[in-house]
This record gives sequence, C-alpha cells and structure tokens, in this order.
Amino acid sequence: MMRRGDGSLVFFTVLSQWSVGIVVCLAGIAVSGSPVPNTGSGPANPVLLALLLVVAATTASFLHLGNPLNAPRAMRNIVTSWLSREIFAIGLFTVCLLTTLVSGRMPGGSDTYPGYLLIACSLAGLFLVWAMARVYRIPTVPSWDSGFTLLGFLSTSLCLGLATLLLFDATGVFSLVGGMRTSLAALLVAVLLLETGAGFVNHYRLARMDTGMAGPRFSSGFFSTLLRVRSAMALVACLALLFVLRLEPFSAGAALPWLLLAAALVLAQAFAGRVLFFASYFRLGL
Amino acid sequence: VRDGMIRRIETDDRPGDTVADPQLRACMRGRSYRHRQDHPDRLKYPMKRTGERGAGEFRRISWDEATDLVAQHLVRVREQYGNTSLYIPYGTGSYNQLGGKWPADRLLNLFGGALGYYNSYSWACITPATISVYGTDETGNQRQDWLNSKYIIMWGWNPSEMRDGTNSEYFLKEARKKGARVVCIDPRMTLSAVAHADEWIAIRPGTDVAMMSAMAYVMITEGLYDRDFVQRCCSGFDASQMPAGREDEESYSDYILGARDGQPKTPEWAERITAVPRDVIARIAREYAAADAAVLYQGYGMQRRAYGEQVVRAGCVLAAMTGNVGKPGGWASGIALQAGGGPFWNIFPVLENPVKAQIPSFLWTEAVLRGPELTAQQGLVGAERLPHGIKLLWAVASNCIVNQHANINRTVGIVRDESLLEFFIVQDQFLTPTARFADLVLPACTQFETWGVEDGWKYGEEVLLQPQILDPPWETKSDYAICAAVAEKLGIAQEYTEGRDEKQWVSALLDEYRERRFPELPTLEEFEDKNLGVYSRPVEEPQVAFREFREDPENHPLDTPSGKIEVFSELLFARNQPGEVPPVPKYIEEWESPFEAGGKKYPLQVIGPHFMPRVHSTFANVDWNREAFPQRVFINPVDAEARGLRNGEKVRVFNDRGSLILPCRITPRILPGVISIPQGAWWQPGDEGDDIGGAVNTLTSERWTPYAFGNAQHTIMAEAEPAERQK
Amino acid sequence: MSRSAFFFDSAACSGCKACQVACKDKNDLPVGQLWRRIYEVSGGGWKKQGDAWTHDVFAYNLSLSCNHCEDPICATHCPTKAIYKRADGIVLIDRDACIGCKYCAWACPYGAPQFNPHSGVMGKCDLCADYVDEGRNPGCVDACPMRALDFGDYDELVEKHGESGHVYPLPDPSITGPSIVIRAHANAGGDEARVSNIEEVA
Ligand SMILES: Nc1nc2c(c(=O)[nH]1)N[C@H]1C(S)=C(S)[C@@H](COP(=O)(O)OP(=O)(O)OC[C@H]3O[C@@H](n4cnc5c(=O)[nH]c(N)nc54)[C@H](O)[C@@H]3O)O[C@H]1N2
Ligand SMILES: Nc1nc2c(c(=O)[nH]1)N[C@H]1C(S)=C(S)[C@@H](COP(=O)(O)OP(=O)(O)OC[C@H]3O[C@@H](n4cnc5c(=O)[nH]c(N)nc54)[C@H](O)[C@@H]3O)O[C@H]1N2
Ligand code: SF4
Ligand code: SF4
Ligand code: SF4
Ligand code: SF4
Ligand code: SF4
Ligand SMILES: [Mo]
Repeated sequence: MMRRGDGSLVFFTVLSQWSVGIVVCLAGIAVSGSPVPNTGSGPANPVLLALLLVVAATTASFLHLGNPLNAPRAMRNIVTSWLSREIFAIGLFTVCLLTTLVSGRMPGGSDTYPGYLLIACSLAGLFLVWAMARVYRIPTVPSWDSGFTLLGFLSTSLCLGLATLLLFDATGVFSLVGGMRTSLAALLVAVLLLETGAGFVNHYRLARMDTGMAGPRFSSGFFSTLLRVRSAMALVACLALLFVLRLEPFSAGAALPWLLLAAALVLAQAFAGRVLFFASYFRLGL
Repeated sequence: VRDGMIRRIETDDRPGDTVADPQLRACMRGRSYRHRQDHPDRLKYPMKRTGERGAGEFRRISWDEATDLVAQHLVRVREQYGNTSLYIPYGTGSYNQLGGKWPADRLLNLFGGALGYYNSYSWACITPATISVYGTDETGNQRQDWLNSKYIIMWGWNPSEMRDGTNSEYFLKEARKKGARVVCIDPRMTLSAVAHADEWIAIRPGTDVAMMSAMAYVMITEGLYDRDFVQRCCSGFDASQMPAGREDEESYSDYILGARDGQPKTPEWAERITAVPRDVIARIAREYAAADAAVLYQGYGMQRRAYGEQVVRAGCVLAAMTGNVGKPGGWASGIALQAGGGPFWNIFPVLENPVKAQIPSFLWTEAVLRGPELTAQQGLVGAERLPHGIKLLWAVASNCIVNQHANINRTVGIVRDESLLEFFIVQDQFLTPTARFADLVLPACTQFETWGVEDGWKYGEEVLLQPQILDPPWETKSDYAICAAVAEKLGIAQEYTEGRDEKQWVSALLDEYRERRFPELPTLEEFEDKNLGVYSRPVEEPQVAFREFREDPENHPLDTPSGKIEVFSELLFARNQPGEVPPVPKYIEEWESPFEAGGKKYPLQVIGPHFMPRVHSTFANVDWNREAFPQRVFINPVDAEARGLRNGEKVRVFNDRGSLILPCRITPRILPGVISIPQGAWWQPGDEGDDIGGAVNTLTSERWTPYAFGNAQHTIMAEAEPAERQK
Repeated sequence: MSRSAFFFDSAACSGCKACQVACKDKNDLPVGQLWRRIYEVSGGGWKKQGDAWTHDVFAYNLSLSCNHCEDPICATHCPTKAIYKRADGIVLIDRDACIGCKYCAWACPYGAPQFNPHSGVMGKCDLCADYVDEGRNPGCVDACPMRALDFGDYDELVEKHGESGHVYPLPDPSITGPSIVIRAHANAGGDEARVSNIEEVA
C-alpha cells in the first residue's frame, strides 16, 4: 500500500503530466497546420488549462514537503540531484506556458497561438517529464529504476493530452479536420493498449522480485486487483473511442457522451496507474 | 540536569573498562529512565479512594490527612486484631537501602511489629533447595572466574535479558573469547542464546529434571562421573554412602538406574518427556563430564515452577558428579550467591520485628482469606497459628498485590472484600493495577529525587551512591520521608529518624558498608568532592566457593546434616512427603502439564519470562520501552498454523482462571507447544472479561510448591485462538 | 581522522536495544524515530522426530544507524544540499536547509534518514558529532553492555576487528560504501532468513 504523503505526489505527477500532454498535442496539431485559437476563456483556453494544471500540480507537491518554507532552496543541488533539476524544469515549463499565454493577449496579436511557442512549451514539458522520470530512477529502488517509469509518465501525458484534445474538438473549442480526429483517436487507443500491456509486463517483472524486509507483495491482493481494474478501465475507454471512430457521419453531439466517458476513464486509469507506481516502492537493503 | 528536568542519562563512564573492574553499563531500562521520570501519569498527591475498590476513583487529599489516616488505621487494627494483622508485602520496586519497604519495616517494627514473611517471589525454591544440598547459599564463584571455564551450560538462564548482576553477559563473552563452549537449554531461543551460545537446545518447560536425570544416567553407565570427588564429598549418591539410618532408602543411583521403580532414566525415556533428542542429551552429558572445568548455571525461571525444588537439586548434583564444585572454572550451581560474601540485601536498620510469625511471601492471599487456618502445613513459622487474618496491607514499591501475584482474577476477588482486608495502602510512583485497589495512595518520589545507596544485586564488588539531583516534584515524598511523617503522627518520630534526614542516613550507611564490607570505601564527603557515583573493588583473583571443602572435606565440613554434599537430603527426608518432596532429586510430572488429561483441554504450555523492556511491571508504561519491545504472545509457526493465526493478529489466550488478548508474534525461536507471554504487562480488564493489557498472571495459579512454599508462576497450561473468531 | 566509522559485532549482539534507547535519550527522539535500530533476523524450522523436536532455527541481530557512507546516495539525491559530508567522513543533515522532501529516505538502502513529522525535516544519526569533537565515543557505542559497538577510523577498525560481513538483509556495500565494519554472526547465511521484528524497526 502507499505510504502516507505519497498521495500528493500522485496528484503532482499526473496533473503536471496532463498539462505537458496538452501542450505537446497542441504543438502537434499546430505543426500539422491546424490553428490553435487563443480566444477561449478559462478551461476552454487550452494553454490556460495547461497552466492551471501545472499550478495545481505544484501546489499538490508542496503538500508533500515537511518544510515548504525552505522550498526555494530546492534547486541548490542541480549538479547531482534530479529532484533539483525537476524543480528547475517545472519552473521553465511554467514560464514557457505563461509566455505563450501572454503572447496571445498582446494588443494586436493574432487569435491563434504561434506554433514556435507551443513547440518551445512542449520541449520544456518533455524535459520536465523526463526529469520527473529520472527522479524516480533511484538505483536502490528496483521497482522504479527501469524504463517503465519514463514510459509510464510519457504515456500518461499523451493519453491525457489526446483525450483533452478530443474533448475540445467535440465541444467546439476548436475543430479538428476529419482525418486528424480519426488519427488522434486511433493514436489514443494505441497508446492506451501499449500502456496497459506495459503495465502487465512491468507487473510480471515486479512480481518476480525479492522485495526485501517489508516490501509490497505484487502477486496478490491490492496490487493485482488494482492492476486489473485499471486495465479494464483502459479497455472500456478504448471501446468507447472505437465507437466514436465508427460514428458515420461524425456528429459532435452523438460523440460527446462517449468521449466524456473515455476521457473520464483515461483520467481514472492514469490515477490508478500512478497509485500502483507509488505503492510499488521498495528499496534494496533495509 | 537543566530547568528541573533531567536532559540525558549517562551511566558509568569511568575510564578503563576491564574484566577485573568493568564499567557498570545500564540496560535499556536504565537508559529510558528519563521517560519514566518525566511521565505525565506520575502520582502527584496523596489520594483517597472514592469509588469501589479497583474502580480507580480517587480524591486528592493533603499529606496531613493522609498520614492521619495511616496512623489511625494502624492503631485501630493493632487494637482490634493485634500486630500480626499488619502486613507489608513483598515488593522489589526500589533498590535503595532508604527506599522501598525498608523504611516502612522500620516504622512498623518500632510500632510493635507486623506479620513477617520469608523467601521471595524470585528465589523461593532455589534458596532452600541449594541449602538442602550444600548447607549454604554462597555456592557461586566470583563471576570473573568464568574466564577459567571451558564449558558453560546456560540452563534456563538468560543474562542478556535479566542480567543477573550487571556485566554477567560481558564476563560470558570474555569467557567465550577464551575458548569456552556455551550451550543454552531453554524453551526459547533467548537473547542470550543468540549472543552467547554455540548451541540452543529447546526443552519442554518443567521437564529439566528428566534431562538432568538422563545425563546422570549416561555419566553413571559410561563411567564418566568424577568418582573420587563423589566418594569424598557427597552423601547419598549410591547405596555405599547412604547416611546412617537411611540405608534402606532409595539412593540417587538407585533412582537413576531404576533399581526400585523399574524405570532406568535413559536418554530415550527423557526424550519422550523433554522433547530433546536422545543423542543430544547423551552428548551434552559427555561434553559436560569431559570438560576440564565447566559451569552449569541455573536460571530462576525453572524453579518458579511446580516442583521447582527438584530442578535446583538435580542441577547441583550434576555439578557434584562432574567434580565441578570447589575448583576454578567450575561451578557448584544452585543459587550461587557470591563466595566470600556478596551484596547485603539490607543494611538500613529496620530493627528487629517483635512479631515472630512469618508466612511464605507468596501466601499473603491465604493469610488475608483464612489467616487463622494457616499452620506449618502452609509454611507458617514462628507461631502455631495466627489469631486473625491480615487486615491492613501496606504495599510499598510493590505491584505484587494484583499484577505480579498469581491468578489475578482470584486475587482481586480477595482484595476487593472489605470484610477481609479492612485497609489497603499503596505507596508507589504510578497508579499501578495494584494501586487502583488501594484505599489510600501515597505518592513516592523517584531515586533521582532523594538520597540513596545500594551495593548491587547478587553479584558485584561495588557501592552505588544515588545522590539527590532533583527536588521531589509536586507533593511527592521519599519513602523514608513518608514513613517519618507517619512516625510523627504515631509519636515515635525521634526513635524513627534518630534525628537524621536521608542524606545523613546515607552517610551513616556508607560508614556501615566500610566497616562490614569495603574497608577502603570513601566517605560521603569524599564521594561528593570527587564527584564519584560508584565505588568498586577490582577483582583480580576471583573467589572460588568450596575450595577448602574440596581439598579437605573432613576438616571443612559443609553446614549440612552430613557435612557433605547432600545428594540425599536429610532436610527433605524429614518432610516425610516422598511423593512431592523426595530426598533425592526426581523428575515429577507437573500438576499442570501437556501429559495429563487436562492437557487436552489446554494443550499449550505458557511461560512468562522476565522481559527486556520492563523490570516486572515497572517501565510497562514507558513509551520508548513499549516501542522497542512491544508486549506480544510469542508462538511457534507450528502452533500458529494449527490455529489459523496470522503474524501480528490478536490472539486470545485462556484457561479456567482467565483470559487475555494480545497481538501475536509468530517466531521459530520457541519450542512448538509452548507460548511465551512476558510477565509484567499491566493488567487491564476489558469489557468482555479478558485482560487486554496482557498480564500473564491472569492465567497463573496460586498453588505453591511443596517444599519451599514458593510461587510456581511459570507452570501454566492454556489454549490460544484468534481473538476475532471467538467474538 | 579520514573516515569515521562504526564497528558492529553481530556475533556478540543480543538485541538488547540499550544502544537504541541511549540514542533516543541523547537525541530526544519521539516514538517512531529510531536513529539506531535493531533488526532481528531469524529463520529455520521444526521437525518432529518421534517424541523429539529437532530444529535448524537460527537468529542474529543487526544494530544499525547511519553508516556515513563513502558514497552517500542520500546526499547525491538531496535537492537542497542539506546532507553533507564533513572532512572526517561524518554525514550530517543541516536541518535548517532541509525541505522534508523525503528523497534521501527513499534512496538510502539502510533506512537511516527518518522523517520527523513533528519538525517537518529529516533526522538521522549524526555519529554524535558533538561527542566525537570532544574526543568521546558516540553515545550508543559506550552504552553497549556487550561491547559490540566500536567507533574509529575505518581502516583501523578493519585492522582491529577483521573484515566486514555484510550479511542478509544488508545491501551490497558497493552501492554506498558504508563506513561500518561488521563481524557476522556464525548463524548468518541460514536458509529463509527474514527480518522478524519489522514492526519494531519500520
Ligand atoms: N529485563 C528484566 N530483567 C530482570 C527482571 C525483569 O523483570 N526484567 N527481573 C529481575 C528479577 S527480580 C529476577 S528474580 C530475575 C529473574 O530471572 P529468571 O527467573 O532467571 O528469569 P525468567 O525469565 O523467569 O526465566 C529465565 C529463563 O527460563 C526459561 N524457562 C522458563 N521455564 C523453564 C523451564 O521449565 N526450563 C528451562 N530450562 N527454562 C525455562 C525462560 O524461557 C527464560 O528464558 O531477573 C531479574 N532481571
Ligand atoms: N507470572 C509471573 N509473575 C511473576 C514473576 C514471574 O516470573 N512470572 N516473577 C516474580 C518476581 S521474581 C518478582 S521479584 C515479582 C516482582 O514484583 P514487584 O516487586 O511487584 O515488582 P514491580 O512489578 O516492578 O513493582 C514495583 C513497584 O514499585 C514501584 N516503585 C519503583 N521505585 C519505587 C520507589 O522508590 N518507591 C516506591 N514506593 N515505589 C517504587 C514501581 O512503580 C512499581 O509499581 O514479580 C513476580 N511475578
Ligand atoms: S534496570 Fe537493572 S540492569 Fe537495567 S540499568 Fe537498572 S539496575 Fe541496571
Ligand atoms: S547510510 Fe544512508 S543516510 Fe547514511 S550516509 Fe549512507 S546513504 Fe546516507
Ligand atoms: S528530506 Fe531534507 S535531507 Fe532529505 S533529501 Fe529532502 S531536503 Fe535533503
Ligand atoms: S552515534 Fe549517536 S546519533 Fe548515531 S546512533 Fe549512536 S547515539 Fe545515535
Ligand atoms: S546495545 Fe549492544 S548488544 Fe544491545 S542491541 Fe545494541 S549493539 Fe546489540
Ligand atoms: Mo525477582
């Protein structure tokens, strides 16, 4: 089971990765030629949504600290500590988002986000996800110290980003051209399936480990149950997406409930996956 | 010390730490004393009972009222029933000559006396049994002599946990470094077994005499015993040396070889009883007999059992058979007080008790319940009969009324009855399970809050000064000051105090120690000037008990009827109870055992060993100690599985006398069929009648041993089940 | 001194916890904080042979604090540099710099750094640096009735007591280079060894 205090890290990682996922997807569609409007307000503005998510994430991370007043010192060990680097990356990413957001509000600016800013944001975001994954690659923590950590973080970003985009599309914040919509939905299904498969492979890897003194037991109970629930959620989400893909002709009204269901399940399975991740902690030795 | 609080405990840090004069290093309890000292639950004021006895409801009163009450009731009970109805029970809470019960003893002795007691909860059997063999209780060499030993059997002895005199475990370690092989025989793989033993032999509790007898069998049949020594120094070993007039009695060899009962005490026979493999028994017999000089050290747990006298005697006989008596590196076994004189139990002048009647310390419940019925049959000495039962009980530094006495449910029934026990005073530092039953609670201060002095427990060559470093907090007073205040009310203040306060008494007692034991002992002024806490005398040349006797038994006879080592005991013979008090040591099946029919109903043997985090019930409420060693039922995986128990789960242990609920620890470190519930946890009756504090005395029996009238609190049968299942 | 270190004689340790409590007393540690803690390892089992019980049960103890490692993984990962190594090798936590992120506790394979919810920062054995600076032994070392603990320079301790035995459940010493010389108990290495007092150490 998870240790006390790790809950805030579940929120921190999932929310910030969601944020990164949104920006990466925006950059993707911008590159492919679709304009990303900056006119929406509140959550209907995708960049603002990303910013709100990262701010919420950072707030959650503070709850994890025993002594948040000292937080400004947390970048002091950038030379050896990935946690320092992660914090640096969070800052960088936030600044990029702010810049992008402000760019759209400049008098006389266009009503779409410039692609180069979105690309800068997503590069900063990807660096953040990478740094975040590195934080957990502690040589003494075999359950975390594997490629599955980065894979999991990236797929969480992507799934949540894609699901958000599809919702924006269905709610008319902006509209994707037909081919794009289909590819994105198909991509989401593919990533979900990949993530689910990876989850099982990783579980198999963990279940064969000697988890030491008080380590978790993977082969039964909490772990295998939650893993199954999580996979089921992912698969149902896939089914909902496949249903949407087969709507002919596409109607936002008919698709929306299914997309909402899929998005909710994607989010829920992301949280479940992260709970599994933190609960899998055990270290070598004592 | 800072701001009236102790900041840190530092113990003996005298430079140099040698075998002759090692530092006295505290155990974890000494280390945690600060959390006992500063405990929020300390008794702060005198209190008078307002609710039922045992309900724990009290009202704060003044010292004036409190001492008045004590004086009034003392006078009333003396007038109504006589001094034999006053009683200060056994209690070990204070190791300070000016603390605990000594000051109260002095007071009552000046007041015309009180019913006395003899023996103890600690050594009830081992002391008289040792004396029955050797005529003395000073059968031990000084411990430094263990370094001369080649083979050491820790038989039911667990010095790492119960210490048995500071540094016992250190001397053992040094002996082992010098090549001694160490074997531990105990139902549990104790802390000592881990730290000291080359081998752990798991024995079924209460069956040690069977193994000892089989060892004797091997030594006799294989001719391994020290014939010369036995011939010169023993009496009653075989038919050739039976005392005059006892020629027809069964000798020890007769018993071992089965000459009369037809049962040779072979290792096969013993295996069935002890669960120890026969080849192991035979091997240990051979190893012990072959070793140049060997120690068979007997712990006290196995004599706190049904026929506790026998195991002590059987061990002493093995020591004699192997010729280990009176030689360096050897050990005569038995109680083994230090040869040449060890620590005094009592040096504070408690004065002579004008009342000559004494009961065995364990039988006070009977003296409350049916005092006038007691006779020599129940161990009453100094009087034919008692005119009345105990009417006033003043427990000082004792939790022996409820928690530490056997069969708590029975005991509290007796103590609750105000027609039997008319007035009950408890003088302690906490509201212990005993104190909850008091009519009057008197708050004593701790050893840091008054002056004290002591010279060690059982072993050691030292005097420990206990200077006062804090003022008594709240309205607490030292045990001495409390008694002095009562003396004042009784009009005997001058006789009582001789004009001295605690510090002046300490100074006087140091003079006494100097005169009687340590000629070099500094005076109090010197102690203070040099900031000394301990005086110790290095042991360069350890004393060896019975050295002269061994060399020349005729001219240095023992203080036994025969002057020899009494394998056949005249004292026991005189009891004329051969079934339960045989004159040669015999294995007798315990009155509760896995072999008897009742064993089916209650198949598990329970032992209640002395536990690291506590001294009995003292420290039971200290957080650091509870964290380090939580109270548990320790149970073997075999027994746990049979009962569907999971590690850490709550288990209910019960027999006809009571039940308790505790989490279990499943551990292979205990023999199957045996569970361990460390003694001393505070009794805490729950709503359903179970003791949820986990005091093993909920399960123990008040039945006493036949010869010594001692407590047999380790002899228990019970059953265990998951606590949830039965509810 | 170049590399301050502990020696621990597992063969002599009874598991009495005098060292643990002496440490708590010196550092005023609340329940739950065990800068020094004792792991009880046991294993083996029982067989009924006729009327006898035979067993291959074994047990030993490990008294551990922080090992003031050569390569302190705790310090590598600490984002604030609150953990640092003194010239004499003592690894210390600057409580004023710590943010309580618990990263060091995740990483240390000895369970040494322990988060103190009362103060919000990490604590761990400081090798009694104050005593060491006065030329005294650490509190736990002088508390041990079995004299199973010693303190000194790593190389000198190796010379004095012999090589280390990093037995189960200790991690591979090459991970952090712990400055502790251990004499293993003769029982170490038995089958199915496991820590049997987890609730007392974690
Ligand atoms: N930590 C601690 N130390 C103490 C005390 C304490 O309460 N706590 N109390 C002090 C006092 S007052 C006393 S009297 C002494 C008591 O010291 P002991 O009486 O020697 O201590 P016990 O734990 O009762 O028993 C010692 C060992 O005997 C084992 N044992 C029990 N029954 C049998 C048996 O039938 N056969 C064999 N072979 N072994 C058996 C137990 O498993 C235990 O390991 O300790 C003193 N030291
Ligand atoms: N089942 C079972 N029961 C046993 C045993 C066993 O092996 N098994 N062992 C028995 C043995 S050997 C013994 S010695 C007894 C011990 O039993 P007790 O002598 O009752 O010992 P404690 O339980 O430690 O209680 C001592 C009390 O003294 C108080 N105290 C401490 N210091 C002072 C002081 O300076 N002044 C005053 N007034 N009070 C103070 C403490 O708070 C504590 O409540 O238990 C016996 N009970
Ligand atoms: S409890 Fe006993 S062994 Fe422990 S420090 Fe005190 S006197 Fe010494
Ligand atoms: S034992 Fe752990 S906390 Fe101590 S120095 Fe080594 S890695 Fe750091
Ligand atoms: S908890 Fe404190 S000491 Fe540990 S890594 Fe974080 S900042 Fe450093
Ligand atoms: S060296 Fe000091 S701080 Fe470290 S474990 Fe020992 S007593 Fe505790
Ligand atoms: S004080 Fe010594 S014997 Fe006791 S647990 Fe600590 S290291 Fe082991
Ligand atoms: Mo005792």
